[in-house]
Amino acid sequence: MNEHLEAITDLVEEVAAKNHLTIVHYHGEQADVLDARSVNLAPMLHQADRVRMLLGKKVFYLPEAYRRLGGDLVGVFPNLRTNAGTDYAATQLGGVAVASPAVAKFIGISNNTNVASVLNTATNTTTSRICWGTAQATDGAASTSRGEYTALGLARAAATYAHTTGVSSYSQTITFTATSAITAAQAAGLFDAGTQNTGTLFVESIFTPTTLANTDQLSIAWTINI
Amino acid sequence: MSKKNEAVTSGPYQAPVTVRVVEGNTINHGDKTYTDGDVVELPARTADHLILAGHVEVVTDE
Repeated sequence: MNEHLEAITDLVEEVAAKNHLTIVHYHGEQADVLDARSVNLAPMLHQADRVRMLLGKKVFYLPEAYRRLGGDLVGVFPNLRTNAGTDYAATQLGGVAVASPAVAKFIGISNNTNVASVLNTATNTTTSRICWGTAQATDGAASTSRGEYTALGLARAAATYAHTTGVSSYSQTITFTATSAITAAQAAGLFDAGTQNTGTLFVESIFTPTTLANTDQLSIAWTINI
Repeated sequence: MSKKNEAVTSGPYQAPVTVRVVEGNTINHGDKTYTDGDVVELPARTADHLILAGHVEVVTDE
């Protein structure tokens, strides 16, 4: 299959050239079984779906793979790099080493209903943008004033970084396990600090509102292109 | 693009799951860095994504 894909590799890469999040909702405890063939072919599923996207067809293989892992693929969503995130990237790549901030590996979640904004920051409490500066220790209806979850299993936490040599992207992957019902989680932020209301908001994204039951899991794989 | 994944697992696996870093990949987990062939224990749901992306392979019980 790889040989057949070589002729259109540049096209496939173009489709994959945008930063994005893959969100998966796992419903409580699952009989997550992968046989050998599933594992061996797993990376090919991404390729197959990218080809389907190029052909204008709905993706199929990835959702099916996650279904067999016990989850529902909520979707794959683009993200937005904030102005602060742009400055952060410049400092990280070209600033004086000793002045460089921590790496952006911490992911926070909110059920704020605003869209992503380049003007947003980690300390924002203005209700026209996602309120990462507002601590949200309890659940509640989604709204424009909701803040970042600081409890209930969705508190900001460090993701697992992964990178393949020579590939112009990397990923930050994390799974949250709800310890209570969560109403319509729909925003994610990638920060360089592990505590709510601190650090730099590098990128943020909104995704399909996802309501979790107690022990449900929300899995996020954030792909950053470089 | 995708990396060949030679992993074989007899499944099922629940959290945590032990994986091996596929050649050419780097994983940072728990403030530690793992590279080619290193073995690391990951939360299962986190590992799912990394397996699908070809960054890691499941270590078998065999």
